[in-house]
Amino acid sequence: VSRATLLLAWGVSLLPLLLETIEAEPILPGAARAGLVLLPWLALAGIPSIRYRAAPGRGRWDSALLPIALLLPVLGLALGLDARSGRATLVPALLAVAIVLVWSLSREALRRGGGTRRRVQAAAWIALVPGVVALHAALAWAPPGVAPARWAWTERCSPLAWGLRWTAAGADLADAPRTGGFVLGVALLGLALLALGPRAVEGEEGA
Amino acid sequence: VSVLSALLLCVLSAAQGNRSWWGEVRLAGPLESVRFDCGADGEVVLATSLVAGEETTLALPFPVRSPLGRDGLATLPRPEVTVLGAGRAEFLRWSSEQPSDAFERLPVGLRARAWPPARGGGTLGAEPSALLLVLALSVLVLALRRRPAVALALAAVGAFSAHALALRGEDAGHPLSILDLEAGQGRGLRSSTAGELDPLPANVLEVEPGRARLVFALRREDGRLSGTASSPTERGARLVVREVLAADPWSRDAGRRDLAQAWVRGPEGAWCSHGAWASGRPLPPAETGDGDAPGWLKAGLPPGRDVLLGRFAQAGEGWLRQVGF
Repeated sequence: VSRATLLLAWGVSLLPLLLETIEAEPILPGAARAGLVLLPWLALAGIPSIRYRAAPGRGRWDSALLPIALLLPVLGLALGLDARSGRATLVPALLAVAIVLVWSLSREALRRGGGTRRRVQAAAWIALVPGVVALHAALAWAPPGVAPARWAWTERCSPLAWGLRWTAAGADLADAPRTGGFVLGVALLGLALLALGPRAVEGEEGA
Repeated sequence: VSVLSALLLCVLSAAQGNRSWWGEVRLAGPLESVRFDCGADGEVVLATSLVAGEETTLALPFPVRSPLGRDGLATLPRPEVTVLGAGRAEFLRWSSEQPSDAFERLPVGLRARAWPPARGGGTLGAEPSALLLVLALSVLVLALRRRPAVALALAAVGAFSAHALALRGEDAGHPLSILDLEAGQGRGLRSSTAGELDPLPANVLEVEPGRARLVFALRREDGRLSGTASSPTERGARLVVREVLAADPWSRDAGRRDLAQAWVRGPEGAWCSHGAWASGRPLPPAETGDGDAPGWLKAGLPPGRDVLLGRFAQAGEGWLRQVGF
């Protein structure tokens, strides 16, 4: 992930806690702070890049761990504030961190894999992150009864849709581990399938 | 004129502020979510999982304002229904039995006890030290970006430290609970206040400021309702849930609980602090001084009667206020 993306995600994740401290009011009353912190990371962890230059001597783990290292202190603070106000958000937060890690790893692995794999990763990100959320926004505007209920399951595949649901005021966190587990499962399966595919052409790297 | 004024006052005093009026709805599957829009007063969002062919009728709370209390409900516009799914949902009628009836049958003295100030202590948000720690750690992590394993270990330690720092102190957003009792009534009134509360046990739900738009986010699972009430659009809004208890939970039969601090006022009006009072033990002897009972807890109590004030030892249980101890 580029430095600018990292700083953007970090800044946006810290902003709700900063504003709450300055104004002494919750930014979104009833929303889990851990959810607000994780939302930008869920959105940006797998963002595809047009150009890629591998840093010399750095493996995929190195690049994937840096977002987690930046996320953890802010998340620790948010979890503490949630716990202080009587909300238990640790389990869904750990699942979300795992999802961010898998997205980051897949992004690094597939970017290094060459042009075709990069395009696959970009398509997967566009479909699952902004795509599913846009689909649900469109269905929500449809008149009652018109929106097909069979599309509802897609929401469970999207980390961003899950994060958005989690940050809604009064969201029921009892459902979060189940949905988060499903998102993580889909992400891991996708990563495994792509990792088992044909090896990339080394010459494509750095294109 | 006096009788009419008194009657009007009785009608308006309890019922006017209530923002939880129950109504009956009919749902037919397949349904995932139903939204009942109550206009400027708020909305109810019900998550459910009715399958095709399943049909049910149930009662839900609605955050409408009814200036004339339950008698004025019939004049209010019916909530507008929006469904997600191919099923149907319909608002049938306002319930003939309202939970607020039990509250209105309580003695006026019990209903009109004093309340804590809007911010009864505690803080919202992080301590500045915790924020500074997070900022410093983030700079260190960026500085160590070429050694991610070290940066990750440092971040993990920092996350635990930030978590511990955030847990310090009392959260002003945490519900504050008061158990009000009156000797010989055999009933109690539990009141809780916070920015977000469960609206379902409420006999009466009030909100400050009174114009605040309320959202009831409810979930129906295995035939059981659960949910929260909050005011996402009104920052700083405070909800008050008042729950009438059928039995006196502080009676000897019900089992008294430990008090971390107890204060007693005699009929002559002098306050004495008695320190911690363990359940099943006699009241400890009075300590010197009148103690440090919060002013709002002592305010407005009827003169000439014994009063017991207490702070429960168990975290989250809040305060006790009994007149006629």
